[in-house]
Amino acid sequence: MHISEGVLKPEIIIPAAVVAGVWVAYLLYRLNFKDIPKIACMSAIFFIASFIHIPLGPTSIHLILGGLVGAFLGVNAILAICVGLLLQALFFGYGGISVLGVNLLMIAVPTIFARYFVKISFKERKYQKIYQYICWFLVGFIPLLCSSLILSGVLVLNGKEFLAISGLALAANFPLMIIEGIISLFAISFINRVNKELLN
Amino acid sequence: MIRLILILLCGVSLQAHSLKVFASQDGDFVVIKSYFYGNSPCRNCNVDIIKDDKIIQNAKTDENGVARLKLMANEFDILVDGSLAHEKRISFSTDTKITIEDDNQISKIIYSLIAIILIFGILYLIKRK
Repeated sequence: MHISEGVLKPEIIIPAAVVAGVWVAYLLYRLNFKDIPKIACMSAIFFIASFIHIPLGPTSIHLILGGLVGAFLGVNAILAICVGLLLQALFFGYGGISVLGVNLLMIAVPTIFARYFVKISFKERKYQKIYQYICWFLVGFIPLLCSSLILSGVLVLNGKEFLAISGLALAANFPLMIIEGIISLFAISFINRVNKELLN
Repeated sequence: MIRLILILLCGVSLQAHSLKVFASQDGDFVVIKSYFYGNSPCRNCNVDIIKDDKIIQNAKTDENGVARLKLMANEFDILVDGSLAHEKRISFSTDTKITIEDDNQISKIIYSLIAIILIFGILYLIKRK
């Protein structure tokens, strides 16, 4: 999912870095200190999840769990993922410092949808249980789908030579969307049973 | 006389499938060349670097029967497997000072988690004021 350094044109990197920087600064400004321990925990979960690799044919994909982070933190997920991406770039060479803005907008911004799906899952419906399970599945599925679409869009914008890779990136992430959807479904279902307050 | 010729012929046929392995140092790397009798390269053959009866590195030879590996020890054995029981084990030693990069993922993960605690800890202290 990470875009590496030296791939993108400055016309994409600079505006993305500015937008991401301003957004992170604004979130830091209005951040409530009571939320910080939860953000730190979710940042650590996001960081660790990327080391869980799932073999898929000749290659392997790694978890992101952005949906779960977004489900718990809402817009503050951007802060948690920003720290995670920064450390991944510094210690492991995933992505890079110059493309941090692009990677942040690509991975973190779609996680905000996860919070929306959690909220609507608690509305009264006819088939409440089935409706909730679908919503909780979408918590993991939709953010990753959006991230993959943004990734493909960014690669297409970068040049025609990346057209084939952009399609491949979308297709390769599809199994991961299903896996993350299932993980979200079970995780939120469990949390809903044991401590529903965490989701509020 | 006929017996002697037969024995010599058997010896030649055995030699025809013998595996030769040579290793030389190239900077911080060891270059392993392997070929069968008659200069036929040992292509895609498995190469194990063994130290204290443990495999510390593994590679495959290329189309020319050559494998290039970073030096990870001063003394080790090189085992080339040409399949069908064609194996050759040689010893290699060097006086070069070996510098092994710290590629321990666990320690990096621990440092990263400490960094997360520090970053958010500082943020907590700033925001609490």
